[in-house]
Amino acid sequence: MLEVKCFATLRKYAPPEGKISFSPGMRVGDVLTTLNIPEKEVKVVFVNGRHSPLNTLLSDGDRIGIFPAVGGG
Amino acid sequence: MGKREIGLFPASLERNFDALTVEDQKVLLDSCVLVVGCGGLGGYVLEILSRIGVGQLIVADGDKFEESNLNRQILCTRDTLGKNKARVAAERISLIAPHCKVEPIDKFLDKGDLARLIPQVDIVVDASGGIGFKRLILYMCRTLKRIVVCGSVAGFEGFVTSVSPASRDPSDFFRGEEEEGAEHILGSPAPTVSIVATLQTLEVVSYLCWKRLNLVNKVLYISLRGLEFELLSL
Repeated sequence: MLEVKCFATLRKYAPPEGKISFSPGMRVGDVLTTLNIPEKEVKVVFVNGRHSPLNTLLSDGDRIGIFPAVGGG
Repeated sequence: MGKREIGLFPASLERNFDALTVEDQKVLLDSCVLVVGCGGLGGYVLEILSRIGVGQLIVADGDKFEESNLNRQILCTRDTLGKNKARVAAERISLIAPHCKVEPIDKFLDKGDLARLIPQVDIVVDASGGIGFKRLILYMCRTLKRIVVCGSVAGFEGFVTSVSPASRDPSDFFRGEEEEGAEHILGSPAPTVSIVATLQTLEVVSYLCWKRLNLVNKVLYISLRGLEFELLSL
């Protein structure tokens, strides 16, 4: 399984229980596709707490945080 | 700490000791901070920096207070509606800390303003709103080799990070068109704004007094609905 958290305006795309199933070869971009998150809305992704590009290869048990633009002051 | 030494400082700072040492307090009084934006984040940042004894503040904002600011902007009251935010900030600081030298700039800073002001200060606080302007502040601080402490808010979430000239930065959070910022949909409630601003001031004090930044190459992301704080690596 992958643990996926969607933040701010992306919260509506969060999977039930915050988890999706993992299959070998999955990349961050595949998580967005699985959850129907438009790539344009995603500005930053962290995998296991590290800023990571969309082509990052995932491992079973990874924690993924997906963020939109946040710029309020 | 000896009472005689503490007595050298304005009496209003007495309760900073011994959290701060005499040396720390001297450093703060000798420091100059540029705070870009005197609205939500900026109002709380200035409240804290003036009360802790920063000696010089350059405060900039071209905006005027309006009713929709009352939900979160500490400088916004019924009395200050319609007034320029930087000027109101300077007035309030003079009432809290008359020893603090304040330079209010009642305009939205452009690239030329930033190029003139950033070299004059020890550290910059990005308390602005809007992803486009945040990108400009990051770029100018990197170019002019100053540290900037960034704060950003959207709804009950927000983050703080410190950027040094050689560090990674949070500019990916500021990518896209201006209206893409999540704050346009989720708003900016007071709890998030005040906490993010408070964390920004801690980075400023830590840098000025102890030459230590806790959030370089890191983002402290807060989700207040679940009281979650996540320390992420850029």
